[in-house]
Amino acid sequence: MNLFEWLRKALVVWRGILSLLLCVVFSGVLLSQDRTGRIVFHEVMVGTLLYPLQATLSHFDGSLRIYHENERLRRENMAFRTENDFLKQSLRQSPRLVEMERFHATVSMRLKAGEIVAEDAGRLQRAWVLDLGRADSVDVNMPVMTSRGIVGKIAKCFQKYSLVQLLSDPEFKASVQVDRSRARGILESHGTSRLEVQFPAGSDVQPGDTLVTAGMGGVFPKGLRVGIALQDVSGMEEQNSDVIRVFQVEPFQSLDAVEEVFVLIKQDQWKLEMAP
Amino acid sequence: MRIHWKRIAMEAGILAGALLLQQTLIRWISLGPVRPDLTLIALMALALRRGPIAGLYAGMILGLVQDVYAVETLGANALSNCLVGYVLGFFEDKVVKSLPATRILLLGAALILHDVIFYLAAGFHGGVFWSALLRQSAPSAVYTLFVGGLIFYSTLRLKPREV
Repeated sequence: MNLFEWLRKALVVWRGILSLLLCVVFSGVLLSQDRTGRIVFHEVMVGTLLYPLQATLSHFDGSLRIYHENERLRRENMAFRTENDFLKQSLRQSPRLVEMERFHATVSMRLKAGEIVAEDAGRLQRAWVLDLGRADSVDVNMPVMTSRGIVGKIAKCFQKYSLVQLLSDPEFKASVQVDRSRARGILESHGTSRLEVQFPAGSDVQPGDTLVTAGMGGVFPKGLRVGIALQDVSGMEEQNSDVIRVFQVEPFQSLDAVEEVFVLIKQDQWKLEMAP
Repeated sequence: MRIHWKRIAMEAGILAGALLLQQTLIRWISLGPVRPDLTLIALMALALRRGPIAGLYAGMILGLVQDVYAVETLGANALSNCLVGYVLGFFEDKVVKSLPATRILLLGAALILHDVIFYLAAGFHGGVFWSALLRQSAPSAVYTLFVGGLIFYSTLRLKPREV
């Protein structure tokens, strides 16, 4: 038996032991390396065999990190956007609130500030829902106004909220007078945004006159600002044109842009007194 | 002798997958410094199925890859893994399968053997050795047994070793 034959048989029979010895010796060689040898081994392995694996791992780990970062940024973006919307809303609301506060401070009447929480869903803007009710000392027929002028009156009142009948409601009527000449008339609406005031023929009314409440009827106290008389449209009305003068009115407070209002908490014996 | 490339590729894939998981996603299920040793579970599965020589070389390769990232203890992982793989290969899968709890006990013994060899090869002696064994190895071994038990009984279904 020659040497090669003996080695072949030994490998077949003793391959387990030989493999074990080989691995143990190899491990021993690695363990016996000094620091320089270990670093060389590390660099060779990392630089050649493990580089593709490492690159794959880094790519996977990076993708996962980017995914989580993207999720976090998306949440932050949503929070910032909401905050931005809120701040914009506050910025728009601020001048109105300042104006309301100034009005509240200069008027000696007892005013209750409220917010409009709903509008009439119909085609005509006839009513609002106000977040003030009997619990806030609000009652039926109390005037509703802004710092610019009246907008309506309380039509129905519940414990926590109430319905405001607006100037634009065709059912709404109010007694008004010309601030300059004290000529009295009746304010009404024709179901559109256009308001009209009917004066008796011969009344001293001119376009541009300021109209205020006349204090007749017991709902609105005297002197609340209503609007400005525009053109005389009596000629357009064929009936009663000889006994009635009709003026279009532009209200001081447009009903389209109101969010907060005041309710005038009327006393039984009220009297309008403006603060100095 | 016919070489079953498909089988070898699959087993290599399992080992590589275990290594990948051990290097990446294992931190998601780590309890502080205590983490399961998925590579040892994979090594045990392969050794039980393929015998001592396959276990020996698979352990050697796994250990070498682990050693690349542990310059100070270069060779310790290779030595401990190859010895564990070799020893585990002598336990025929038929015997282990006849009593499922044996597989868990075997995994526990393999973990202890692996860590003892590793610490000794890495030069841990005296108090440091026992401290590492009790504070690091024991909790990790318990966690690995738990994870290994889940894997063995739910997902990994190994066939008996081909004779």
